[in-house]
Amino acid sequence: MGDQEVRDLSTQAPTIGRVMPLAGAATREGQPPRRPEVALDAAASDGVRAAGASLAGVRHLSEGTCRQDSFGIFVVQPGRICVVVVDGLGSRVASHLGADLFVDAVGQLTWENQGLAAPADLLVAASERTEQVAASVYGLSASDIAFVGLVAVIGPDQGEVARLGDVSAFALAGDEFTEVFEPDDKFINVVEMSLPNAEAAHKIEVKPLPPGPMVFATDGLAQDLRTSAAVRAWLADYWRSPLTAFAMGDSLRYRRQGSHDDRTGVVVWPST
Amino acid sequence: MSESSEAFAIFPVFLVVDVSASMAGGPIEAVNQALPALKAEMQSNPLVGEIARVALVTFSDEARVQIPLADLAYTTLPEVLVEGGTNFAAAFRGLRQAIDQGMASLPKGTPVYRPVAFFMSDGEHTAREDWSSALAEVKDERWKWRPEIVSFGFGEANRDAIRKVATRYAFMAKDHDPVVQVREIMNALIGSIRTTSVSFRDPSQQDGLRLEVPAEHFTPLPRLET
Repeated sequence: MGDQEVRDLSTQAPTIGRVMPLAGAATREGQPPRRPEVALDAAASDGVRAAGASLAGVRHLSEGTCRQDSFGIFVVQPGRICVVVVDGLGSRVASHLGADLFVDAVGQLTWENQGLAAPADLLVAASERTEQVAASVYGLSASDIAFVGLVAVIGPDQGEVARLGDVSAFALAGDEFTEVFEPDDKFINVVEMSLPNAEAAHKIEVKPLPPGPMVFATDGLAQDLRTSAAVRAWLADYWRSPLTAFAMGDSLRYRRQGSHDDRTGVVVWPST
Repeated sequence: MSESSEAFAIFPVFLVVDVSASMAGGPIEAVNQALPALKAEMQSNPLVGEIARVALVTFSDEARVQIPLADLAYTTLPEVLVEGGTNFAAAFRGLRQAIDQGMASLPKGTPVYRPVAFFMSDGEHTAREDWSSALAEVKDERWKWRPEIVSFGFGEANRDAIRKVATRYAFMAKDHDPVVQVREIMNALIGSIRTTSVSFRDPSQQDGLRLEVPAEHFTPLPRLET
C-alpha cells in the first residue's frame, strides 16, 4: 500500500536558517509505550492565565521515538498557579515516563497541601515520589527515568521558582526576554546532574519571580530564545497576550536550523 | 537578551588522520573514498547536516589542516596524499591549532557541543621529539575547548600509544587487511558523528558522545591514565 497524503494546519510560524527537508515521521516499533507527540493545555483563575505546549523535537519525529519533555499547570488556589516543566534525558529509555510521573507528583502534592508548599519543597518531594512510583509500579531505577525539572508557584502577590538542571525561566516584558537564572556556558550536550537524586535538596536553585508575564521552558526552546533574534521576535509578539492551548502549540511550530530537541514552554500572564 | 544575530548550534568534529608512508596504496585510497561519503551524509541527513561541522587534520612529519572547521556540504574536498614519517607531537599541535582557529571562527555566542577529535594511526611515533607534552596540551582541563579524543589503531599501530592518546575511548581494528580496517574506521567515524548529532545530553554515559563502533570490527582498549 502506498503512503497516504497527510494534511497539516497552516501556520505563520517562521523558518529560520538553512533547514533541510525532513523525511516523513515513522513510529519505530519495539519502543517503550509511546505518548502523544504534542501536549497542549491552558488554565485560568482569578484573572491569572497560563498556556503550555510540548512538541516532540525533529530528532524524535525523524527517529520515530517519543517526546521526552512534559509539563503541568495546576490551579492550587484562586489566583495561584503552579507550573512544572520537565526535560527527560535523551538516552534514557524511560525518561519520558519519569517526566510524566514527576508532573503528576507535583500536581498531587499541590492538591494535598492546598498549594501552600514552596517550589523547592515540591520539587524535592515530587522527585522522591516519582522515584518510588517508578520502582514500585514499573520496576525502573532513578537512572532509567532521569530528567531535569522546574517548579514555579505564582500567586497574586509573589512568585518563586525552583529548578534542578537546565530548565529555564524568563521574564517577558515587551520584546525582551530576561533570564531568571544565570545561563551557563557549558557545552550543550553535557548535563551534570539530574533527578531523581538524593542530593537534590542541596543542588536546587531558587529564585523569586519578577512581576509580569513569565515563560518557563525546557532546553530545546530556551536555547532558541537565547540564540535567535527571529525566535524571540516571533514569540514575543505571539505571547503578548493570553493564548488558548491550540494557539500556544502553534507558537512553537517554527523551524530553525539545528533546533532538533523537544520544545516545551509554559507562559503565565498575571492578572491585569 | 537583545542581540540581533542568529547563532545556530554546532557540533565540532576534528578528524586527525595519519598519512605517513605506511598508509600508501589502499589505506590512503580508503580515506579519500570515505570523505565524499561523509559529505554525502551531511547533505542527506538534516539532523547531521544542520549541526555537524568537520575539520580534517593530517599528520606525518608535520601536521596540515586540510579542511578548517566547515560545513562539509559546501566544502571542496582535498585529495589526501601520503607523506613521510610519523610524528604524534605534530599531530596534536595541529589538532590544537585547528580547534582554536575553528572555534574562533564561529559567531560569538554560538551554542556548541563538546568538540570531538577522532584520531587514527597505523604506526607509532618515530620522530625524535617527545609527544607527551603536545598531547597534554590538547588534554589540558584548563583549555576551554578541550576535546573528547577517540582513538583508532590499525595495522602496526602501538596499542599503548593508541590508549594513551584517547581521553576515554580507544579501539583497535580487527580485520587483517589495512584497507578494510581504514574503511571500517571511517564508517565508525561517520556513524558516530551521525548518532552524536542526533542525541542529546546524557550525564552518566559519555558526556553526550555516542559512538557507533561495532564489536565485530573493533577491539575496545582499556583506558590508560596519562
